[in-house]
Amino acid sequence: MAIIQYPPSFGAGRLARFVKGVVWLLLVVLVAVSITFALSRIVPADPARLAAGLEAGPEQVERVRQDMGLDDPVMVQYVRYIAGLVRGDFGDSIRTRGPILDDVVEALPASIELIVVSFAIFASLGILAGIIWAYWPRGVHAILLRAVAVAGSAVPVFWVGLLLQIVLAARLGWFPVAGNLNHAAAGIAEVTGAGLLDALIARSPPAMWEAARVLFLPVMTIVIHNIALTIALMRSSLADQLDREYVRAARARGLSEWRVVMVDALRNALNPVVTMLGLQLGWLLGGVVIVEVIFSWPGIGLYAFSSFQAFDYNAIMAITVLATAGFVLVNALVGQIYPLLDPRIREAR
Amino acid sequence: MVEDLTVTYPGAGRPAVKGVSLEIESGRTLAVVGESGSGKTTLALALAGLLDRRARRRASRLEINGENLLAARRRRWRQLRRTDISFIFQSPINSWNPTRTMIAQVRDAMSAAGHAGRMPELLDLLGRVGFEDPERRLADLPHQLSGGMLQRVSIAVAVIIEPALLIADEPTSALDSTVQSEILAILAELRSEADLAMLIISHDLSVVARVADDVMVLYGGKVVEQGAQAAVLGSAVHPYTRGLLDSVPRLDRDRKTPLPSMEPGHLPAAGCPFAPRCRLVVDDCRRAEPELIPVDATLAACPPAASSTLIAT
Repeated sequence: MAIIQYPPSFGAGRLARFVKGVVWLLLVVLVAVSITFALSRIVPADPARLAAGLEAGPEQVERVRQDMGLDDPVMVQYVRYIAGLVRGDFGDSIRTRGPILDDVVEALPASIELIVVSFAIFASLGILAGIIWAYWPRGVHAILLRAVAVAGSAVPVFWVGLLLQIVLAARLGWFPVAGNLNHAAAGIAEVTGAGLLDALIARSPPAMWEAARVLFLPVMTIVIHNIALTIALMRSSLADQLDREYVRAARARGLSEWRVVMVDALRNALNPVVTMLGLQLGWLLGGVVIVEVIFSWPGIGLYAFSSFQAFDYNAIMAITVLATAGFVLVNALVGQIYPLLDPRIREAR
Repeated sequence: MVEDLTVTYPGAGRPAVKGVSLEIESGRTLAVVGESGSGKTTLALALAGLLDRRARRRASRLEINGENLLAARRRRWRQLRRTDISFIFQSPINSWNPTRTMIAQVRDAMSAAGHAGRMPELLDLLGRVGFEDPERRLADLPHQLSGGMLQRVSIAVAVIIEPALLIADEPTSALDSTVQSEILAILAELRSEADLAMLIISHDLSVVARVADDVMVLYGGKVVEQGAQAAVLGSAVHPYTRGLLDSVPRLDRDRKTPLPSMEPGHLPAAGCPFAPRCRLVVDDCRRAEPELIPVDATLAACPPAASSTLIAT
């Protein structure tokens, strides 16, 4: 009987895995770009017509079309667009007339601030509440948490946003109705564009307070919607682990409840929660649109919304590419967390 | 020792353990025998304070080392599990967290018991119980070790605290038979060295014959027979015990009629729990639950068997 020897397979090393990941990421983005590109050429709106303005005559529209390269064959336009992307050129905006990259760079910090703050709050509070609910399944808190878990995911985002706006801002006046921090009025320099961070850099407590105040309502809107899933999944996942025999065995060895729950059981219970948080974070990159529109938050979502209205197809495509890349990137990063939680995954690779 | 212990799980009609009394002196081993669902694991968990929070426990006495534990709180039980009570579980692979290395979990156990400085001693002990190269193998995750190896670690961690009571819940039934016999030898040896009381749960009468001084037979949460090992295994009175003994396959005789099997969870609401499967059943058995009465060398809860034995002798 011959002994079959397998060649050492490619993809065994850490570097090979990394390269594979990057190639995969680029491939996904390329597919997303292609689909968006195709869609932008299928929809019946005419960007040249929009760009030329309402008063433009047919000749003018035709000239604009030539200027924008829209009379070239679609494949040529496609290749030109991809080539631009590789150089970091997303094209010009029909609406703002400037390079889209500049618009995006200006809008991004506000969105990232909103997403990061919201995510940090709903992830940490959600995990904490889920742990408490799983460990003490009965009591007033359990009833409250169940209500939050059910209501939070059932109620639509725009409704929560509007309700918060009406009650906490318009009626009670505790928070501004909409808008971001006015750097000049707060007396701080605009370094990053993210209000809270700039206030922190300027070491100005009143500006920080003001930045937190403007953030509060949009953040609350995102948190209420997203925390529900986190709580529910954390609870069921941890409750499942707490019923396992190894938990009883750890208790039998005299381990403290803290170690049993927070070290042994929680570690295993976090796995599905991390998966879902990764998906939620990825979703937020594209999903802040509604929240930003409600609260006139000058981020990428509001920019996307305005671009949609103006059929600014270059801008829409740029945002799609960014959201896709962000989603894939977040999930790739989440993939790096699993082996930390479960060493069996590390070994299986 | 425990007297008149009853444990009920919520939603269950009848108690999982009903009116069980037992006493184990240090240096002795009591084997609790019974089939699945007979309440033997519940009994063991109750003695270590490890019952589910929802379970309701009643007893007229519950003592370890003379300390009354009827009103002991969870904190006290935890303290006892660190110093006086050790537990070995049935499934070695499920006794350890699958995602943490053995060394991390062993260290956790050692420092919980206040023996963090005794790791070298534990490694020695592991070597003695046949766990080779402990320093290197403990760096592994549980699934990288065999069931026998894992159970050796469980035993070493259980014994190193020099407990007053060692409870072993079917410590060998998840292992194959050669490993089984090694583990039993280790347990017997450690038991004889340390002056501890051991409670071993098993459905395997050959295991009982090897390690037990006394035997208690549970059926439907009730003690149906108890006594010295030789008496119970040699001259059992209760028809259930006799049925168990008869169903042990042996080379030197033909197999007798096996116990009539029964669907689990169909115990009668009143009377003797064994009545539906019993060959000696009379009308009285279905009315009142029989008490343990001394017959020959054992205590048996079966008046018909008792009277026929008395007539025969």
